[in-house]
Amino acid sequence: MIGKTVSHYKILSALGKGGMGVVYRAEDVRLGRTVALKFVPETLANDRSALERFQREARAVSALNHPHICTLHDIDESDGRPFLVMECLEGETLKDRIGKNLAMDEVVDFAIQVVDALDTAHGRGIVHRDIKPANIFVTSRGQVKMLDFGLAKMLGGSGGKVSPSSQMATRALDELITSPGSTIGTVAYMSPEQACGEDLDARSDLFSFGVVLYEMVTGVLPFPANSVALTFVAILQSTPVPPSRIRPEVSAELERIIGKALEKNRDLRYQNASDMWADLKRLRRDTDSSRIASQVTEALPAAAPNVTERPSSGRQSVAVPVRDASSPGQVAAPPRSRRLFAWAVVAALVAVVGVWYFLLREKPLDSLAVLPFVNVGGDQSTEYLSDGITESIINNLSQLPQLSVRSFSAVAHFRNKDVDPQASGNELKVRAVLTGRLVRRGDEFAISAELVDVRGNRQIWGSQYTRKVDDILVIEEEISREISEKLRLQMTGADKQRLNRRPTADPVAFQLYLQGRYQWNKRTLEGLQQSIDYFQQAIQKDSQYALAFAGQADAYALLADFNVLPAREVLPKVRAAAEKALELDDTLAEAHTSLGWARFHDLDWIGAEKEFKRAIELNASYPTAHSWYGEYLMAQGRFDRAQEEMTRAYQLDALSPVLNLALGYRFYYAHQYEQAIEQCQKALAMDPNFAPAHVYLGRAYQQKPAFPEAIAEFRKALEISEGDTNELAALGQAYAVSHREGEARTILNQLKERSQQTYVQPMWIAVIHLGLGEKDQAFDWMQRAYDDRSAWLVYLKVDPLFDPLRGDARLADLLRRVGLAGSN
Amino acid sequence: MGKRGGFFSRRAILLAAMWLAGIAASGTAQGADIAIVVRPDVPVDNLTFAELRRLFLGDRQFWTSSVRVTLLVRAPGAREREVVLKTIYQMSEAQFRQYWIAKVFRAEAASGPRIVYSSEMAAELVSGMPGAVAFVDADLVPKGLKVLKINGLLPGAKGYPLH
Repeated sequence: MIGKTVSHYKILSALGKGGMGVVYRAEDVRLGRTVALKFVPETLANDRSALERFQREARAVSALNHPHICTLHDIDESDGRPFLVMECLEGETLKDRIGKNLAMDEVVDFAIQVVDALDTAHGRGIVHRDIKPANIFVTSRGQVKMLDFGLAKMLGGSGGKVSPSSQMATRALDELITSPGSTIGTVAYMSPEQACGEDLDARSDLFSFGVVLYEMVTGVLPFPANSVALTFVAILQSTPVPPSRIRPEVSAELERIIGKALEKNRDLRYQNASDMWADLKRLRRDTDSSRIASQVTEALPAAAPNVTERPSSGRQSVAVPVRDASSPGQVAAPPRSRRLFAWAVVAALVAVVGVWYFLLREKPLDSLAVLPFVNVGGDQSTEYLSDGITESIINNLSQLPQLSVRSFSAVAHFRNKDVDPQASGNELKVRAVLTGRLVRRGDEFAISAELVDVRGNRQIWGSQYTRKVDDILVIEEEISREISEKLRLQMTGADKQRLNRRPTADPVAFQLYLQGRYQWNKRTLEGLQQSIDYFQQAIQKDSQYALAFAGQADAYALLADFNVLPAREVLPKVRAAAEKALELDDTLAEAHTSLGWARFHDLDWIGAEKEFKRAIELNASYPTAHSWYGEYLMAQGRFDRAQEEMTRAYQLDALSPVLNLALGYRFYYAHQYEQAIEQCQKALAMDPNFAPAHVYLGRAYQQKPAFPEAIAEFRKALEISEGDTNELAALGQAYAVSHREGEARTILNQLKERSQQTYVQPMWIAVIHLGLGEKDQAFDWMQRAYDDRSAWLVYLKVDPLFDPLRGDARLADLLRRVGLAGSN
Repeated sequence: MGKRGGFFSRRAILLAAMWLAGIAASGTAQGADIAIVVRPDVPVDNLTFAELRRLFLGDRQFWTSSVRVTLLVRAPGAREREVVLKTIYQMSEAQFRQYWIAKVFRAEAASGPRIVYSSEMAAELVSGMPGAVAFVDADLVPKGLKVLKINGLLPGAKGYPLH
């Protein structure tokens, strides 16, 4: 088999031989990853009904997404012989590790991971039924992976039990008992009910794991016997030797946990894996706390002469006042100074342990970057989908107040790059990173995702999904939900509701929305045009789709920002779309932000601030809300608060040229031109073809004044934007103030000509007249700008371009009408 | 304000690529006239230049009461597009985009022009879509299409306005 290619897997080497046959290491040539292939035995392959059952079970197992369960990627077939495609692991089985005398810490750590995996499987109605050390793998990074849920079976809906008569487990058991090749080792981990052929449930797995745990701790089996029959008798009748007798360092609590797992009566056993998991977690916490206390005590021998160690529950020690040997049974009354000293030491210990607990306890991972999902194969037709899934997950998780999620634009530059999660996580200053891949196969998508703890470069969670295109919605929800669980976020009911909220039930509408966002994020006129179309189509598909209305509002808002149309025309549609979105879902931060924008430009200053604040309250990780609120504050001259909001937006998306530039134009409007130049140059260092940054850099130069530099920047912007009216006007204004009247008038005429066909922001014509010293004409055009609700009107109070008019009663009147006369 | 993001470099590359692709695909001779082509069943043979402008600006939307005009425009980078923007639209590239976004936003047109990426594609669509109108290099007019006269002139004639 070595060197052969089966399906799209190239077999590289044999990994070993298991109960099901030879396991091979292979390369998935489509995805370029290493996998393990397990071919099913020929006997099974030839039994049609057994094979169908097996495949059904495999499908159930593939639904298990857990970091401690070996992932089943696929079931495939070669020459009529089915095989499983599994995650390829490096390390050794627990069976091999047990022989190397496991440390107690490792025992507890491994146990927690196994029970965590069982908890998830049981929660999905899947019982393993073959828990044994050979089926527990420890990777080279110390991570436990449960293997071979091959005998597992989805439990029926009623009561969660299955009849053994229909189970492969029973068949396997029969085979074990009757087959000459069967081993006692496998039987030794069976539960009493399994040995008796009774119905099985999750508690059977917990018994089996109790046996494994006993063996991990002591190195021997709890029910040793020389034959299969005697092993059954021992399982049903014998009481195991207490582990502490074999290994004295075993704590009383661990002994209790093992004993409870090995209860023969399953009603007295752990009833579910989560209870056992909680006991193990508590044990680990207490053990760690005791160890710290012990270490502190050891570090303070001279300072605490009357403090010694006394065995507590097992080997762990805690510091306690020692009994006076001269007074048996009595606690000696120490002198006042010694008593005070002892109290001081105890207080110090409490403080140290408290600090330790605060610093080292498992804190939730509170910041996350979702890197753009890799569109494997580079199929352009699905690129929107990989970006869309990424953005949807970001949007979903951004709803959780305890989690800071980097925005899509902050991570967009990682698109289609081979990224190291740890390096990218450090760059983005987050605790966890989610990566994913998407492959289209006909009308199905295979999506894989992996969550990595940046600090230890440790996988927290990984999962694979194969779904029809129509089920993309479900995947995005599943991933978000599982991540929030894995990040151990303490979610309120409202948080859960937000996370589980399905924006639309129509998958086509969802895809249209994703395409709309994809185009919108391009921030081009073409993209903007297409995004409007897509959002409209999404709304036509699902008229209750709030997010699509919010997207539509955002797209319309950009039309005014780009000066494609006067804000007067755009505002009613922005407002209507945002209000519709809020009517459908009033907790949508995007919609409140859009409505805030509409009110801001409609000169409803109080209403705008209310909306921006509400958006931030709902989703503090949404950079646009901070950025637009910052612009609102800046327009009123509240520069310090504007700086706070714009900095927050920048922190959420430090790699966005737009947000970098926002900090630059805040300096410009605050008349701090040197800082403005420096910040604009930073934005241009990120994207040298970012035309607005050239414009603001030019404006800052102009105010210094440094006219040649300003004109050079405006020309560059005009060239990059392919003749955009805004950039042309900026150049004309620079000519005007630098006494190049002829060139200024030429541009002025061009703008007036253009205004016959396309919208020209009246403010631009006004400032050229102003530069030429024609104040009356400037005011005429400013009035037109007011009539248009020009998007620039709101900056009248702070824009240095209007400084020559300060003190003019007409400007004061206009400011009053705009609502900026009294603001400060 | 401030939302016009960092896309210009990508756009510049895209435009350059499209320009190169356009040259390769069309093999347009520099300076050749541009022909306006329609299906033979379009009941118009001649347009004044003003009528042509109205047509391409989306102000005339029907050939007849039952046949709607469908505009086909070459993608950015093609010489034919540059000529049409300069002569018919009299707009910069940015203005042209702005114009059509506004037109659709105001519901003055159902949609903007459809983009075609080669003369062949333009010809194929004109043949297949009743009412479609496109502009192609006059040296590369496919058989079976009607070339409209502008101000009574066919491409190549002295005074023909589109070149």
